[in-house]
Amino acid sequence: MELAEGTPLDAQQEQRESFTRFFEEAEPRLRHGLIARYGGESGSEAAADAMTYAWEHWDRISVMDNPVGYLYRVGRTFFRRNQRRRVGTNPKAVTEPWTEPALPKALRDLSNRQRSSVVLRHSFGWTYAEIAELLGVSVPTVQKHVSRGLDKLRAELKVGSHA
Amino acid sequence: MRDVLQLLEQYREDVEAEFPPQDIEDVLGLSDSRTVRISRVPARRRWVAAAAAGAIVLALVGGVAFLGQLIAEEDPPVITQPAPSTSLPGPTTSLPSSTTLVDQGVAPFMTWERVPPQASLGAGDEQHEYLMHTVIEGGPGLIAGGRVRTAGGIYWYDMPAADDEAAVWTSEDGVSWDRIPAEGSGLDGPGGYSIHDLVAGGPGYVAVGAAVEDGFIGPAIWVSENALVWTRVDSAGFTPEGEMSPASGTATSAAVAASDDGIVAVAAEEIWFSSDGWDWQQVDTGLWKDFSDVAYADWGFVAAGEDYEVVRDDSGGVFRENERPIAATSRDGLTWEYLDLPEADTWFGAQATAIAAANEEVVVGGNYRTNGNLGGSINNMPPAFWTSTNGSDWDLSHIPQFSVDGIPNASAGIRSLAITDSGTVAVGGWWPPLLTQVRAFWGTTGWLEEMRNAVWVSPAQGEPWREDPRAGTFALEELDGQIGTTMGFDDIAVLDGRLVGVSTIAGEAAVWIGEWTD
Repeated sequence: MELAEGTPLDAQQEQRESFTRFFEEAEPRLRHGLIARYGGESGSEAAADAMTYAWEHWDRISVMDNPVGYLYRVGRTFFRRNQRRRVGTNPKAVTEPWTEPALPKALRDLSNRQRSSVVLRHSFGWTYAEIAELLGVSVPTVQKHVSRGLDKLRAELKVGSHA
Repeated sequence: MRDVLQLLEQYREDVEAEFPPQDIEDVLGLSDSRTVRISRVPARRRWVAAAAAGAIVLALVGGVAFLGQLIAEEDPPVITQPAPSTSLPGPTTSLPSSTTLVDQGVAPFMTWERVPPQASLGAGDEQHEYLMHTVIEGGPGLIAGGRVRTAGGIYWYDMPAADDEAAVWTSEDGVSWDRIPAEGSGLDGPGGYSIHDLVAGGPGYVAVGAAVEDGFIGPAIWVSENALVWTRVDSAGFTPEGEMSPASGTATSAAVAASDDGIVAVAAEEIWFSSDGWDWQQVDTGLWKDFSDVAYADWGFVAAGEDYEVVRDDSGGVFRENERPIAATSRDGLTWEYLDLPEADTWFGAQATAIAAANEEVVVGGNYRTNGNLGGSINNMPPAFWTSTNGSDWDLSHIPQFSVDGIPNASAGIRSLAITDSGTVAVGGWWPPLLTQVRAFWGTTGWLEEMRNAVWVSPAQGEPWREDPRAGTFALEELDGQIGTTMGFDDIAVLDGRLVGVSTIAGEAAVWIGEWTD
């Protein structure tokens, strides 16, 4: 966020406070959305980049109707940029701690939308409407992705529907 | 047996423990020392990405004085975190034998004048924005396509919003335009639609673009006998689901070309063919080539775009590396051969973004990276042109650095070309360095100040390409000196020896008439 030279200190403070309020509400949603799509490490990194971008462009983003949806797209773009930086490293070498070792591969085998819908719904507890808004699809579409995603996970992990 | 829902709940705990929430103080602190830039853009619009952050390059070429001026007007050009492989070569000194440099600083070759604002182009309509994406010779004189959207908010260049209306305009002379009413035209529907390219072919005319329906985006194709009433024909055999973000490479139709025997539409990695415009089949290319444009020469179809290597990460994300300009040729539209377009040995990747053909001559326009910053943030991207008369042998022209109005290290995007009796014209946009390119392709019209119209001219086949020194500024003049709200020229057509360029400025479809000077 660039404040023009001579901007009163109380105006700067107001900008910081309004961004702080936004951050507290939006950061978990943005991070969860990107983690659901890209995994823990890449998703967290993309979310951090997107939030930094939000602060740097707060004068514009603060007036958007759906800033989290916009920043979700920003995060997706940062993800690609970040991956491009990693040339020379093996992207598959990124490791994350999993209680269920087979889960990452099973999630990876889902389509992007299935993975995002399943993880947001059943890992992060989002409503179908919230997922639909983030992904830009209808609620029935999200329900379809969740249902089919769970079916695939059960088949892949050879687990049941109930404990 | 464990429940899959339990595993997914555990997934959250695992992730939260390993990747805790971000600290806002980190965000506020980071923002004081880092400038964020984004480098990926959609097919055909990819050229608007990258560049910016050229402070180091500016210093190398002596642009320090200008840098000071720019810093005073724009965001601080702080550069951190350069990619490990970044290198900054000086001006190109070694070129292949087939390469010629582009002359700069020459007198104007053309005069351009914007046609008067009119209601059909959006004048006086505060509720909507009129985006004119393409224009061809046809109908009463000219046919243009694009979309009309609700004013305000963010829009994506290649992806219509759910309530965008596909739009077709006609004109007898390029000066006065009529918009076909959407209702009853066959262009309306339950979703959002946009027309990206037009061609004379099939039953009369073929329009290609994008449709967003029920949350899914995909290609859309319409046909018309008279450009007034259209029929959508892509309901079967097309990709049912694309990415919602154009930055990830949507499969929205980008371009179309026609021969006497068939029609070819290209979009990102996909090619479709139709013998009549009504029935389409997707061509199995077997390879991932990102096509931006297609044309038909006497000897066959030519598609231009870029090749790249696909890398997939552990979570299924796909990204690209080692982008190279390519062309693909086909005699029948069904069987394609690929070739790498020539590159200078000092380049760090390039992309071909536009193509035009006349008789046996083909001209491809694009741009190239001047250094190896993989993120594209420390880059300027001058224009490059390739020409061929048979699809096999290609000559290359490019400039080592690009300057407009004394601003060094600008970047350029070529969106459309026209081959005329008086020479070949390339149109598109340019943007100065040090600016955050994300604004160029994301955002409201108020965000698009970096993109400015640009025209390059090759007076005759084999002659060097030259930047038209007037073209870089006339969009600004139209706005009384305000930093413009334009994304540069979208397309260009020829009518009675005159050039007609289309674009969007401040929410209105903007049309310019260009004429050659003596």
